Amino acid sequence: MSHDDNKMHAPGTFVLALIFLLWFIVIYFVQWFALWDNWPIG
Amino acid sequence: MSIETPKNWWKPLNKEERIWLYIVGVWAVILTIMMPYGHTRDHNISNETWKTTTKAYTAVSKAFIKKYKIGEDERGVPIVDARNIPEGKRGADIFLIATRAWQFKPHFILKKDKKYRIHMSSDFYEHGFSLQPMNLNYQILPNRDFVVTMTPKQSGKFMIVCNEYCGPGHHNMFTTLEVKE
Amino acid sequence: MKDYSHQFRTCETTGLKIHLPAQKLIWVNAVSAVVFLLVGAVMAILIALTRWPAVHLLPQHLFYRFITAHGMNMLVFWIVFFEMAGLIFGASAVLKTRFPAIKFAWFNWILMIIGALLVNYAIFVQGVDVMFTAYPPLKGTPLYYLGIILFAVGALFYSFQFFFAVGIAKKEGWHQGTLPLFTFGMLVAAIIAVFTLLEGAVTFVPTFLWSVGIIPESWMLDSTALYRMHFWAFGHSAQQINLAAMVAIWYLLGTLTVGAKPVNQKLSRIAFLLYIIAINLGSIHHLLVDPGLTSTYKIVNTTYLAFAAVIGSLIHAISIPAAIETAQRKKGLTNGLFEWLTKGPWSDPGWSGMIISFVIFGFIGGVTGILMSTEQLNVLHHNNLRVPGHFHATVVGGTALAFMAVAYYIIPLVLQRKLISKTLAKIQPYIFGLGILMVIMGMTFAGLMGVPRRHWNIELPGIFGGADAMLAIMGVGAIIAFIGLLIFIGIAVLSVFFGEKIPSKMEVHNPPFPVKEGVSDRKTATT
Repeated sequence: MSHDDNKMHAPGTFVLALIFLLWFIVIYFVQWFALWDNWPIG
Repeated sequence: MSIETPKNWWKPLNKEERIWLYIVGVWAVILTIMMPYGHTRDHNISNETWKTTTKAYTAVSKAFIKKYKIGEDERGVPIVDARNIPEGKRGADIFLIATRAWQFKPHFILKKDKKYRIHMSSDFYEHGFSLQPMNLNYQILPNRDFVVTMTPKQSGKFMIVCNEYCGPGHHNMFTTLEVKE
Repeated sequence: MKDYSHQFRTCETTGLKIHLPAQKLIWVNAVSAVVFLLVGAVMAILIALTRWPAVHLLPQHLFYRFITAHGMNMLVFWIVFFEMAGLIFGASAVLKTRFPAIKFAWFNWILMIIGALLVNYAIFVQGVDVMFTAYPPLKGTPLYYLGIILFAVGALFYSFQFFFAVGIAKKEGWHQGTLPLFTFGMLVAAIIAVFTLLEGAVTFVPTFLWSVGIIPESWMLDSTALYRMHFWAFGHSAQQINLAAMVAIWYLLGTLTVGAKPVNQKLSRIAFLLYIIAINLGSIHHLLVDPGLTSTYKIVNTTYLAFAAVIGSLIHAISIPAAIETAQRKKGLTNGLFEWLTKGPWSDPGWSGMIISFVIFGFIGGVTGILMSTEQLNVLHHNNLRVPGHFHATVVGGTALAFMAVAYYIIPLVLQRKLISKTLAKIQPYIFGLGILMVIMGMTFAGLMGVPRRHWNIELPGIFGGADAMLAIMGVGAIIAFIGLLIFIGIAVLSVFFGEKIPSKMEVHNPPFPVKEGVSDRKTATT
C-alpha cells in the first residue's frame, strides 16, 4: 500500500457532513427555546 | 480494506479530517457549556429529594387532602384547592401521590403565576409524572419525596398522566390540574 | 499443536480463509437471531396496530405482554445472537485463523438459547408483563430472571472466547501485526459487552433472588433508584455494543460493496477507543429526571466527559462516507460533488441498506439521542413516545438495517447459499427503510405532543386527540416495515435452508507466521 492510497479526496462527504451539523445545531437550539418557552420549573 | 491487516497505518490526518475535528471540537464545547449555562435560567430539573417511606408519605398526603379538600370530581378523585396555601419564600407545598391502585391523588386547583413546590412520591410502584400539554415529565419512585418547583403561566385545565409502566392499570392513571386566575 | 490445516475453505470473493467449525457456529447464531427477529416482528405489528387509535387491536393485558416480548426478542435476542455471529466471524475468518474451543462455543450457544426460550416461556405462558425494564416492585417469575441470566452468561462467555481467539491467532502464528479494522471494531464491541453483561448480573441476580423469596420486598422497594442505575448501565450499554458492531459493519459493507478503504485507520481507531472510554457514562441520561441525583453528577456524566463518545461518532460520520467517496472517485465517478453517491450500486441491497441505515441513524437517531441526554432538555422527553422514536432510529433503522444489509453478503460468502430472490432483496431495504422512517416520525411527533410510551389507551385522559394522525402514520409505517421485515426473514431463512449451494473450495491452510519450535513445544507440554 503506497502512501497515496490513503489520501482522502471527499469534497461531497465534507459538504454532507456540514449539512448534517447544521441540522444538528438547528434541532438542538429549537429544543432549548421550546424549554425556555415552557412554565418555569426548578 | 476493513478486513485487511493494515501496515504503516499511523499516519498524519488528511486536511479535511483535521478541519472537521476542529469544527466538531467546537461543537462539543458548545454542547458541554449549554447545560451549566441553562442553570442561569429558570428551567431546570429539581435537585431536591427527601428520603421517606411509603407509609409516611401516604399519611402526609392524606392529611394534606383532608385539610384542603373541597369536593370530588366526576371520577371520584378528591379536589384540592391550593390557591390559598401560603407561598412562603420557596413556594407553596402541595403533595401528589401515585397509588398502588393506579390513581393519582388529588385533583389540584392552582393559582396562576403562583410558585408551587409539588411533592411527588408513590406508595408502591414506580410511576411517571407527565404534565400535559406542557409536556413536562418526571420520574416518581417509592420511598423518595421528589420536590419539583413549578409556576403555572396559563390558566386552564391540564392533565397529569402516568407515563411509566406500572402494571395492568397503567393507562387509567391520570388526574386533573386546573389553573385559575 | 494439533493440525487444523484441513479445516479451512477459501472464500473466492474476499480471499478469506474460513474455518469450517466456526462457519457452523456463525450459521447457528445467525439463524437463531432471525428466528427471534420473527417473533419480535409479529409482536411489533400487533403493538403498533394497538397504538393506532383507529384500529386499537389488542386487549390491554396482551398489549403489555407483547411489548415485553417485543422488547426482549428484538433488543436482546435478535441483536445479540447476530452479534455473536459477527464476533465469531471477526475472530476467525477475517483473521484467517481457527476458532478455538469449538465445544465451549456450542455450550455457550446452548446457554443462550435456553435463556431466550425461558424468557419467552415466562412471558407468554406465565404471563410476565414487566416490560424490558422490569422495574421492581413489578415482579417477574424466577424463570424470567433466570432466562436473562443464562443468556447473559452465554454472551459473556462468547466475548471472552473472542479475546481468546484473537490471542490464539497471535500465539499460533495465524495472524501477525495490527488487527483488521472490522475485527478491531468487534473487539471494541466485545469489551463494551463485558462491562454490560457484568452490569446485567448486578441487576438481575438480586432481582432473581427477590423473585424466589430470598431478598425481602422492602429492600427492593428502597432500591428502586439503585436498580434503575444498574439496569441502564446494562440496558443502554447493550445498545453501545450494537453501536460498535454496527459501525464495524458499515466499514465492512463499504469494503464489500464498493471496495472502500478506511482513509485514515488511525483516526477510525481513535474514534472506536473513544467509545470504550466514554460511552457507558452516557447511560445515566435515563435518570436525568429521577429523584435523588444532583445536577453536577448528571452534567458530568451526560457530557460524556466533554462528549468524547459523540466526537467518536462524528469522526465515523465523516470517515465512512469519505472512504466510500474516495473509492468511488478512483473508479472515475468524479463529476460534481455527489456523482459518487448518485451512481452508487443502488440495486445492491448491501449498499442501499448501508446508506439508508447510515442516514436514519445519524440524522435522526444520533441527534435525538443528544437532545434527550442534555440535562434540562430531558424533561421534555422522558418516557414519552419520542424515546421509542429515538431508539427505533438507532437500533432498528440503524443497527438492524445494517445487519440485514450485511446478511445479504454473509449468506452467500459465509453460509454458502445463493439468495433465493435477488429481485426481492434489491427492494427490501427501501421498503423497510420507508416503513421504519414513518414509524420513527410518527412516534417522534406524537411524543412532541406528549403521548406517553407503553400506554394502552391514550384516549382516556382526553387530551391527546391531536396526536391521532401521527399515530396513524406510525401504524401505516409499521405495516410497511413489517412487510419489509417479512421479505428479509423470508429471503434469509429460505436461502439458508433451500438456496442453491455454493461449493466449498477446500484449501490446506497453515499458520503463515509459524512460531519458534521451542515456544510451541513448551505450550504442548503444559496443555
